[in-house]
Amino acid sequence: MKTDIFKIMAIASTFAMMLFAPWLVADAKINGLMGTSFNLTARTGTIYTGEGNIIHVWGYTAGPKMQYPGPTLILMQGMPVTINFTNNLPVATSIVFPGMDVTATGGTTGLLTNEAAPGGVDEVTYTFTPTRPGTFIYYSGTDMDLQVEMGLVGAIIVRPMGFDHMMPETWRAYGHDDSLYDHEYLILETEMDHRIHSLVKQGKYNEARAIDYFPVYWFINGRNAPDTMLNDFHPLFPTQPYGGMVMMHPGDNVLLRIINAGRDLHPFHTHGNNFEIIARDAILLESVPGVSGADLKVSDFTTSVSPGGTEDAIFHWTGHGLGWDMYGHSPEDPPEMGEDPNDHGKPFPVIIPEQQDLTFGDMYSGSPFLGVAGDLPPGHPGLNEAAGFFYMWHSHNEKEMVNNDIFPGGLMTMLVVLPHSVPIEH
Amino acid sequence: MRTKYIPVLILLAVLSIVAFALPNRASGVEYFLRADTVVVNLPGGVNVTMWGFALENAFGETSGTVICPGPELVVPSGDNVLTIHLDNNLPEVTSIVIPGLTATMTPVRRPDGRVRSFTHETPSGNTEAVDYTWNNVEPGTYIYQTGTHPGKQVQMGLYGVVRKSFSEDGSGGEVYENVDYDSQKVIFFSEIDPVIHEAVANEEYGTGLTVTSPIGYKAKYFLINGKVYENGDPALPIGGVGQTILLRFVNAGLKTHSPMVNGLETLVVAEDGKPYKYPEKRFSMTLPAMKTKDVLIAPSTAGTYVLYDRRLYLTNSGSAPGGMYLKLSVND
Repeated sequence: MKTDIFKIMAIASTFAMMLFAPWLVADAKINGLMGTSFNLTARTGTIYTGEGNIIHVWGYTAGPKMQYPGPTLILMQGMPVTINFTNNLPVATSIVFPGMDVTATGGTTGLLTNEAAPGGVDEVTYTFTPTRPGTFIYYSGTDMDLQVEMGLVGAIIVRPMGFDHMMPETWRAYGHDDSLYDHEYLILETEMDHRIHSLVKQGKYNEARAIDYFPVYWFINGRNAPDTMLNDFHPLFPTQPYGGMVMMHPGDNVLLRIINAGRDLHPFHTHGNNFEIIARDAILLESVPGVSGADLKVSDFTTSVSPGGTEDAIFHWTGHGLGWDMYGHSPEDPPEMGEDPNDHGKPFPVIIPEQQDLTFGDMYSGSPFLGVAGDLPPGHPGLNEAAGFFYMWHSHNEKEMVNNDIFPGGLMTMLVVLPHSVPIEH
Repeated sequence: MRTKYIPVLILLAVLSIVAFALPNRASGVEYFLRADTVVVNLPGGVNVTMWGFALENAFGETSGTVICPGPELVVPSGDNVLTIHLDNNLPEVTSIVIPGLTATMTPVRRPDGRVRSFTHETPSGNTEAVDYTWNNVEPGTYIYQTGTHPGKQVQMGLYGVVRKSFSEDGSGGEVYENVDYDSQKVIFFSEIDPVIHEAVANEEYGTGLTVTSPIGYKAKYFLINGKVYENGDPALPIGGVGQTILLRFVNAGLKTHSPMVNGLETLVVAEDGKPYKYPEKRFSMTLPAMKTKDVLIAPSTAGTYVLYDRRLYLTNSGSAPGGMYLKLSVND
């Protein structure tokens, strides 16, 4: 009977996702904390999983409430950073910043770095200067086998010199134009074995460690599908502020900052088109560093980022190769912005049956054409008001597309290609 | 010169010609290895029976220590030929293969046709050495391992590293052409599932027995250079500030590992003994089973750097800290 309840909850959750149709308030920036000085605290809290479970989690936060993952720190290349860290967990903890040259003061010396004592009794200060732009990661440097699992992970983005959020022509991930983008998204991958979290909540750390690790939850930005498709800071998820819905217009370049904050490999797969990996561990893939641009970039449709590592990829989509005009143009119509000219005016290859001969999915707009909302039968929820194209992006380790054995869920989200008439805000 | 020395000189000349005419021993390196059983002590009073190799001076000797991973087999820069003379003191047949190096392979099959050994076997208790030869050893880092019943024998511990540099200059050299280093260390990842080892030791491994195969493999111990981490372990000296230090990462375990060095980034210069055209600067990496990666680090500050497995195999049978932490010390 428990399973039935979960199924109902999963369905309810899916409906909740649809009610808050995300693309109508399309918000495509990576939210996080900008600046050079941060006060972070490790706290305990709970998160909600896609099928409605509640898991005890440890996370970094800049506020009074635990969050998972920790705040995305958005830094500027060359600007020194100070992180004042306190610990409200029941055990000592710390932060490490791979790829950064960190000085740690305060607290007590741990195996990897300085650790803050439990109960908020002391403070550790981590200082470093990000010397190069790119996508980085931070996580616990204390008892990592337990603490990374418990949720002590977060993302770091370092903006290159000359980056100005107000000037889209400066939106580069790296110093080179090969990293120019129109929208950027964070894909931070993790997994959890909830039995460990239950035991930790009871203070049974040794028992938690003795478990044969078997994760059953997989996350993008701290949420399972379908919750990944809800907005950042959605009120249903007070401790999981970051969504994972990817939105773009045809012809846009989408920067994916993919981070593997977990311990397993998650083969992240994009439907719709290949992406081009332009950087790994915040190093542009170039034959002559600083000179040649991303000439060693790799076109691929699935990537397994090393645990503890990052990759940046550019995803581009025009509808190229469809073989029909996705706008439903006649040959004499003017082209749309970003349209692939090869298919301009080519007819849709199927005679669309009469309405009474069709079954309508909830996300069908009423027409096969981008941005063209057609007639829908009475009672249809009309969830795809903008008439976008949806592509599932997910871990291609198929078992990772569930929430504790319930499909769909897990490490999965959607790309929605929106017509240019629907703005994507930053 | 007095004439009475002439016959001596002629004799010496003839001898030197004869010496040159003999098979050129100087172009090859040879090792006598003894495959044998060893009991390894793990934290918590756990003793695990492993199979490993000992380095001997000659066939039949038993003065070497059986270790796991086995002895580092160094092929000098000027040598192309590696020969291993194997003495098998294990209770069953074994053999040696080196993935990535070419050799004439003569597989041995079971009566039903399935391959038992990838190449010729050394019987248990052999009375004369069985030789394994590789004639074209390229610079790089390789794993030698058993080529017999690898599902059982590899996880029992029959593996070690073969390394060769393009050129050598004291403790440094070029690992590949134009890839310089000042000092080097092998960082060898391996794992132990004690349940399988106990079954093998008690002759309870095999068809119809307690453990029938490695299908239920669940490693509980995660080792670097043959040792799990324990509190208080000393740091491994790897070199000094200003030096380029070559770390040869090797994974003979069954799982993928992800070595990271806290506070340092690595320059990955090669994989499986093949140099990258464009080395990759990384702070993360994956090291799958049977993979080798050569990486360079260049610490600018003296001190202790902790290498760890970001797959988080960092416990000793559930007790932390343990597993794949390794302290590296860099002096001034």
